Amino acid sequence: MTGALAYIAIISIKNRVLMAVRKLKNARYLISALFGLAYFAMVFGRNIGRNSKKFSLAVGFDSIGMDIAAGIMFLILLAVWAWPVDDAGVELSESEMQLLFCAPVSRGGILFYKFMRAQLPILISAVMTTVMMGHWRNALGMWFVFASLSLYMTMVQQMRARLRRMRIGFIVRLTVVVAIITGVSWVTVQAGTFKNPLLETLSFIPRFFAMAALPNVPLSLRLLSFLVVSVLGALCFLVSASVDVDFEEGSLAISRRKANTVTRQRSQQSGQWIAFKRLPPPFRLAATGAPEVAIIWKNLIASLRIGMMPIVIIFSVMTFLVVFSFFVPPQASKIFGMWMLFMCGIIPLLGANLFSQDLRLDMTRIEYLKTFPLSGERLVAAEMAAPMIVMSIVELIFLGITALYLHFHMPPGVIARFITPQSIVCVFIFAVPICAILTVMRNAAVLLFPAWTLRSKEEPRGFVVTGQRLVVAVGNAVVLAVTLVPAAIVFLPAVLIANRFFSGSPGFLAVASIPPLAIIAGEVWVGVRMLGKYFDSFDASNELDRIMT
Amino acid sequence: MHPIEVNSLAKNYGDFPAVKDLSFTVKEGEILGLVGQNGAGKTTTLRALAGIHPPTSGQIRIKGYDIREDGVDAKRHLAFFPDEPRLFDYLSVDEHMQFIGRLYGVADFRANIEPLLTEFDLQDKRKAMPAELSRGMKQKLMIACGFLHQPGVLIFDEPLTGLDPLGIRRMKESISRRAKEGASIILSSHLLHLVEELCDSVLVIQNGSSIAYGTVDDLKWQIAQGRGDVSLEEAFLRITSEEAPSK
Repeated sequence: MTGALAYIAIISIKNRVLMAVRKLKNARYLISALFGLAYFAMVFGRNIGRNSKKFSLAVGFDSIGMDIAAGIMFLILLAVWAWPVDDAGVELSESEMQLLFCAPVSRGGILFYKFMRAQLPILISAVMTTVMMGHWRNALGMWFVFASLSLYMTMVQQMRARLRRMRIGFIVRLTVVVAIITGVSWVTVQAGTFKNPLLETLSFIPRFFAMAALPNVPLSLRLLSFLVVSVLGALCFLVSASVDVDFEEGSLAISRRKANTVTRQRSQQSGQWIAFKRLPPPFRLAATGAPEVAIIWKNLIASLRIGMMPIVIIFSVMTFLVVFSFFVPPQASKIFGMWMLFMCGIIPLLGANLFSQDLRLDMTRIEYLKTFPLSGERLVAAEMAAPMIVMSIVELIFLGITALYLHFHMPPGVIARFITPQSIVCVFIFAVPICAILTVMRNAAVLLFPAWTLRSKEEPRGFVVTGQRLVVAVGNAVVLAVTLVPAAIVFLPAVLIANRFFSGSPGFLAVASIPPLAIIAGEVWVGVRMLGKYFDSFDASNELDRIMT
Repeated sequence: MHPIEVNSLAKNYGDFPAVKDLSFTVKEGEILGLVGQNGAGKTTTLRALAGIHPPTSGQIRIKGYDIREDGVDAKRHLAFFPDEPRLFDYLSVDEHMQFIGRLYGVADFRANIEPLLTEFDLQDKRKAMPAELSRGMKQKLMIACGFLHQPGVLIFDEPLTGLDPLGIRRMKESISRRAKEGASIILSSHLLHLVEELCDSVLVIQNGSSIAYGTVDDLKWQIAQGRGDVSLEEAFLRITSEEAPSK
């Protein structure tokens, strides 16, 4: 049976690697993997070169470096006993539980299977850690340490469950752990050195972990540490397999908790997690009129019920700031005002991420959306309208408070002369289309790369996911920069012309701002049109495995 | 011109042909049963009809509108009911109905909501959110939303999944009533007794291709070949087993 379990574990690892490689046939995965690899190569390559001398000194069994590493390891080994979770068992997937718990497999077999399954992530973690330390050749030692530590953690988990059966709960365990740490610290302080008998005795075993993990340890000590760490791992495995606990029940509880966490994360993304269920709709939906209003109405309800929490926090802070403004001296008013001005600039960037009640929220229901009697262009525009409305209101209020601090509560001067109601209006009418550009970009990302932006059961890992994030972030920055360049080019001559002919009159604002605004608005319109056309031709079937899981 | 006309429909997923050269029509008041084994291409066909998946080739016309060229007009006349109801989790039952009413421009949708909620036993759940509904209730809500704009073309994918016995009876009555009122209906189901009971004609597909198409009685007669009466289930099994080796 052990052979069968080892076979399943090895085949699972092999299939996982093969799946990841096969996915690279898809250009999107390949590009993101290349970006991720390039990023890691850049970061870690630099680390290898820069840090290789950090641990160049030989670290002997009695060196101070070894003492510190052993001390840290001792703390880790001790602290896990104070962890609050005291269910026995191990975390398994639903299918693993169905397969393993019904089969004639001993607990040792299940633990062995779990240990084998964990080896690929452990190996990757070991390599990453050593590369970050600049000593990738030490990956083998780090792998020994991580593998043995995983067995130790499993054993402590079973022991915590056993202690609970003996009515020794979290508080008692925490108290004992804190008492031990306090006692050891007191003895060390009294002795004035790490080289005291108590600490040396307690850190004897952790010292082997430290020796296996650290670079530049003499070969004989390294080999000895590998042996000791492996034996300790095996002992932990044997204890885990034999301790008297409700292993199956505990595994079910742990696995259910993990599944619930994943479900909650996915629910938050698809709008299933609702903070304020009973908030009424923002307005009564009339029976006739443009159908797009129905989409806006729906998304505004979503904004209120799902995205209300940030709105409540923002408005609470703003209300406080408004009241506060009446009591602060001009100097403080200036600081608050400048801070608010900074926030006004940040809102378009933050808001597009914070208020995502648009296509991003509805992507899991795209099949339903595609049955609606609306062209892609109108549907996309309607979907984006609700977050735009919310962002515009937030931006307007922030600008109003900025004016309150920097214009009305400041003595006449340079700042008060520039921060006028007119300039606030000017900033607002620029901020709204910029918010629109950013919203178009976020929606384009979810439609063009649904597999990158949605959580699913088969999540990409490692290089691919890092690369995806980089591609999206860089793409957003580049698109934003490119879209703002034409408006910026037009803005300067528009200001000069306005200043030449309309200086000091209200016409100045209109002449200076309308040309660049028209360009940004035109870009938004083109973006929505293109996105709409893409939506119309979007074949959900090609993305179903990612979206609908 | 028939309300549903499908000519040489083909749909590929990458290199895999899920539906091949499928042609059929559905008249006013007719119920067509779409049957086939798992993976035969039933759901793909229905999704293409609903305008969700663009067909690789071929033509689909709903009430005379091409689903690709005049998709918006075509969709105004149809309602698609997927096997898995995907509702908006942040809208209540009542708000779902209002939303669909406005989206399809139903002039008096508020007056039409009440009878539909009563028909589907949802009148006590008006304020409930989807998370508070059972799977069967979600299915009923999805169907009530679809009926609100009184579409002339109804497409059901496994309509009875998750319903209790009373719900099944009511659903069958609802489907029959809409057909009698002139709606053209396609339903896919593995429940062959349901297909036999409700449908006027049957299209059997296997590996994406049509292997039998005709009225229920014709199909049964062809299979029986004068050797007594056979059920649709028996006919289906014989047709698919005859076809299977050649694939």
